[in-house]
Amino acid sequence: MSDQEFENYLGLLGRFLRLDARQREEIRRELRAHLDEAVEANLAAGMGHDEAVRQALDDFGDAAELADRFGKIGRNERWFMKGTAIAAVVAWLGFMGTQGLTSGDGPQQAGSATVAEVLGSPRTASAAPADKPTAAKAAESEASSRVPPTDNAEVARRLSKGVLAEVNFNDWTIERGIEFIAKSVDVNYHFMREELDEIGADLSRSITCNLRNVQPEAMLKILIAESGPDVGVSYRVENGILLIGSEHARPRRLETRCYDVSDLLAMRAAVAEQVPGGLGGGDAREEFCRTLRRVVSPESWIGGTSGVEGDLSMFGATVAVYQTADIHVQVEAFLNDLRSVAATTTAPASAAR
Amino acid sequence: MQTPSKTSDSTRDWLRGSLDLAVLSALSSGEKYGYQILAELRRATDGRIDLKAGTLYPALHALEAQQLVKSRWDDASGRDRKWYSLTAAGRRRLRDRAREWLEFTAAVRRLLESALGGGDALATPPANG
Repeated sequence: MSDQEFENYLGLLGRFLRLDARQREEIRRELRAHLDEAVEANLAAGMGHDEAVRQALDDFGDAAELADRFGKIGRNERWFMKGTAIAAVVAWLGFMGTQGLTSGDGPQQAGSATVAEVLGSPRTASAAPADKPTAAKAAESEASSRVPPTDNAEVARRLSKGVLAEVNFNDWTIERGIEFIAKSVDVNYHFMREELDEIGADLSRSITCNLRNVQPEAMLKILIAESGPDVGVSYRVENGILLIGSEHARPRRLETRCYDVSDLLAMRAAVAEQVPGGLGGGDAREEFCRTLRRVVSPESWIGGTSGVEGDLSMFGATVAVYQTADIHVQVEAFLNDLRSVAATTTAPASAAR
Repeated sequence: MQTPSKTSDSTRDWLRGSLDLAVLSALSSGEKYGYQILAELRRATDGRIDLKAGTLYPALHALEAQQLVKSRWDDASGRDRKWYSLTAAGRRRLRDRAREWLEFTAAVRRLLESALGGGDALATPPANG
């Protein structure tokens, strides 16, 4: 659903702004309410549907400016938001059921098709682990040419982007609740019994919780918090499996993986053409490295505070990242976020003008 | 589509220094949500201050962080809305900054009048007195 694209956009904005989930949700809610209201007022003023939506977005202003004014985005990162602002316009139009931007197809397909044309390269995920950790599962999934639904980034996506329509835990155990979440979003899961025993975690505690439309990851965090504040239960994703264990066992081993980001660099070039006055100077590849370092777990790179000494460098249009497995998951998730908005960026922007 | 009175470039420059003041002013008559604040600013300035939402919300959040405004969510109006209002500190800030601003603009006005040779050149009285 195109509504999702709008959410993706706000999610991405949140990443850049380094907000916590609560603040992000609050800003999303507020901006969303504003857009709804503006569209309604425009309709009431006699505008046609398409015009009402377009005008509301036009009045909303430049998302890069928005990010800038929220105060925490660097000059070099603004191009992402320029690109995604255009994508958000398209997504919004799609959400409102606007047709006729292009002949025949909805804006969604039109966007993707054109991006594919422009980029001339497949946009399938291109993470290629240089060092495969354990598990036959991982090897198996990498063997297939399509991205399997159980790769780490996909699992992370399902947890963060999915929705649990209804949660009715009445005197359930924490463990049963976690199983429910994993099954609802269809991801493999495993309880690391040894780790849990070691920290004395008790997942058989009873909980009662009734919620609607909740993000799976948020629900997972709620359940884990129920196990006690200082117990140290945590979750992680490895080899496409959601693992519930101890936070001390989070992986510390670093490995190199290469990510092909030629499509994202092409997106930048495409955006630069659409933005009057261009995007300013600066080497796109250097910018990309800087941004990645800053957006994904900034404390985990060389010189950071977390004890992990990750590193990255760019070879052509490939970025080689030396990091722990869980941070690789975040890198993939970030790249996928960018791609999900990039997929609607290129063509329809000109149509929307 | 083409609204007649879009904020001009020079107005935008002036506004940059007084955005907070404008937002605080819009809240002085009572609690409002973002969309209403924009409408109020447009109305009260004959469209000269026509902010983008992308400008307003970050400003509101910054004011809230400084505890000059406070907010609450309420859907009693039939729609989920975040309502902002002035705090006591916000009222004080508005009063102080307004005084500074008025003194400053009065000084600039005297400067311009002398530069343009007396009252005649600036004879157009301020709109709506």
